[in-house]
Amino acid sequence: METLVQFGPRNQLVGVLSAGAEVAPVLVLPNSGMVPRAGLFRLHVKLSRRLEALGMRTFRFDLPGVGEAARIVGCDDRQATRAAFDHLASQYGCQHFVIGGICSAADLGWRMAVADPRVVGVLMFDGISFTGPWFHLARSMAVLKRSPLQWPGVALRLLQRTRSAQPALVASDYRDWPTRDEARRELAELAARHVQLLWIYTGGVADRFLHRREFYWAFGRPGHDDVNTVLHWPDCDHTFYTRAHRERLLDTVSDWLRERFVVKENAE
Amino acid sequence: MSVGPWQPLWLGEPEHQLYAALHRPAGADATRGVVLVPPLLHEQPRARRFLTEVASAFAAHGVAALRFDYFGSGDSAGHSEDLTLSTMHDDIGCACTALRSHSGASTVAVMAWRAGALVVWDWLHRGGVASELILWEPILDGRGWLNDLDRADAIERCSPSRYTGHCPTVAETSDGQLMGYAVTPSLRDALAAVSITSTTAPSVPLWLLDRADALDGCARSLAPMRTRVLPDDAPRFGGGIRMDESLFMTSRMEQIANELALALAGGR
Repeated sequence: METLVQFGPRNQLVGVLSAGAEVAPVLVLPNSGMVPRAGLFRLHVKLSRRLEALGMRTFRFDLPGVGEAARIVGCDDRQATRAAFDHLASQYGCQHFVIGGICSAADLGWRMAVADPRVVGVLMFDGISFTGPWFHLARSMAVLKRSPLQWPGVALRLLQRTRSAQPALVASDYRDWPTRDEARRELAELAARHVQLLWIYTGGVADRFLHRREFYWAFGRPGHDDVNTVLHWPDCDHTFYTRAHRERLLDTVSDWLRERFVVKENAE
Repeated sequence: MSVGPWQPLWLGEPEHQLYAALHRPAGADATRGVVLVPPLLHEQPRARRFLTEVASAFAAHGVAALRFDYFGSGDSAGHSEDLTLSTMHDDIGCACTALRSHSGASTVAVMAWRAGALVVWDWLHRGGVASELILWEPILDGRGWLNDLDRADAIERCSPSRYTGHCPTVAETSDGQLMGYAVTPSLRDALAAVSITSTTAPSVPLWLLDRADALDGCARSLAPMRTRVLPDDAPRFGGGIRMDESLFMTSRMEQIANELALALAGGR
């Protein structure tokens, strides 16, 4: 049975808390971009029901200015999320949190994990990435796989981009990302705290991620820590439009959470 | 336009609970109320914020407003496959009853967006009661709308802008999904059988809001009591899957929302 929760400044924010055991961490699901809290194609609702069967609670909510939530002066996304954590802790006994999701939800999850010791897990779906030698190699290989008749067109487009006076917008320009050095340092801190991270990169971000090795190049030694589970699904799009891709995501997230948190809680 | 205060509610029995949001006018109980019936499928999340702001406008002008998610959609209980025309009828009835009991409103209008119009039209035919029926950019032909969605869905499933990694060359549509949402054969058949025409018009005062090119045809056939032309920049909820700020309230749309609210409040 789900509970409607009002929290934050003057209780203006609303979330839905699912049932589950108090001992396991709560999966906190903020909005992905402007998508309302039920999630892309109701993904958050479906995930919530799967996890309820495992005894793990979820909390999905609208950030200020998204979905039904009013814009609140003095309350940005991080402050709203912290308010959610604090309310869940004081009213429902939630001590630890897993947080994240797709795109901007991943970015917010990262920021909260770095800042708040109550975060024990992060879902990074099409989250932070940095293009490097493996990206360029993979892209070159993709071009070479095409018919040679297409190579001049590719070369021309590349030349036009290089010569363009207008610098191309890259993800880090509009996403809330640390620099690569900062990201490495932050991941090392998270690993030292044993924060678990599930990274999934889809084909929807093929403009910046083409091979799993990019992750390890980008994050260096901390990227190789066991806290990281890194998956690359080039056949999926950024929003998991098809049922099969959503089911794969739901299965993977449920299994990962059960393995990293529910089984662990039972063992302790 | 801002989002005014509102209260989240669960309606109905636990196993069939509907998520709803009540926008109550300040001061004494309202005498007039309006139930906002959302559009269907992918258009429902796209319209959520807009409906929230319209509901806020109604409440600001003394008209109690209730929004809700159909059973099997949004934050309501039920699986997506549970959504039927019959359950949606029940949901509208439940919402109207709840609005009366929670706000004190003695007369309740129903306002429906897009294909929500098909649902409400059929509900009125089967004994549903409303003081006024307000249709916003209504879908008049269920079968035609579904055919349009089939075409749009096939394009999405093979879209190179969606699948920037491995792009499918053939749209695989056997998963029972339409625009990312489950549509059972029985729901499809039921919606296809609904057609909004003058010969099937229920005896309820009708208000129509639509784009200029559609309104003339609507107005001629349905003889509405009131019409309003939507400006070119009115949100196009049926315009795709993606969420963006074009779906949010603008100052011109705010004017229309306020006009509607004043007209309802004045009982005109």
